[in-house]
Amino acid sequence: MEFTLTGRPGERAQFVEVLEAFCRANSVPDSVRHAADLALEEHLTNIFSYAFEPGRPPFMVVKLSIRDGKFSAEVTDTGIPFDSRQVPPVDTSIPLELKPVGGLGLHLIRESMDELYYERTDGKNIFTMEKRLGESPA
Amino acid sequence: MLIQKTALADSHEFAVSGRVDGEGANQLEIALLNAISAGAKRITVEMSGVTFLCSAGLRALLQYWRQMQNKGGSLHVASPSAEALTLLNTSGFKSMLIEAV
Repeated sequence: MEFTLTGRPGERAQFVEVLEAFCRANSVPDSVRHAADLALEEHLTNIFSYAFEPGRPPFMVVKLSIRDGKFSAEVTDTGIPFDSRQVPPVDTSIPLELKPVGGLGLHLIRESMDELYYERTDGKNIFTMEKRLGESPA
Repeated sequence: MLIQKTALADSHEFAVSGRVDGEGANQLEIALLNAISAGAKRITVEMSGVTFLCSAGLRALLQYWRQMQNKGGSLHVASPSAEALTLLNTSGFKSMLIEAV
């Protein structure tokens, strides 16, 4: 399943429907669907917010698949090079009075998904998120 | 996303239901800002009907929690759904929850 986003009105809501339909069709457990929904919401928002200079139209393609017992979402964008895996983790123990407002999105992606992969190829960022469909091994 | 507002004197409660994504977070921010502008001293965000919560929603809550603290007021989250509670706990927002009586 493939979906293209270019910043058109309503496309984020359309994408959520596509994700839900894909998960239903492939009997993806609700917990995995919810985790993927959250991780993709955070990653796509980050791309729209930071990956493209003003005046440059955003372009990204999301590929959803099931392979080797895992849900996989591969997001390719034509924005500036950025590997979010290199960003240091946030300290969630910081009290609310001092808690920074930034970095929560990346934290939630890391918390939601089991594996994250990044590569930069032909001027594109390719970020892949995977989550096991069954219980995690002990 | 739906927001149902109840105001009694300077106590404002917002019952939030549905998907608090980026767009939902913007709606929530507007509601909280309006409550503060109207002189709210105590704000409760009731989240039993929240089916999805993301960092944009957390940022809105944190921003207005701080504003209320600075004004000598309070903002709390009440009755979070399982999805909302997981996110609030995972992100270190547990102290924003109203303690169960």
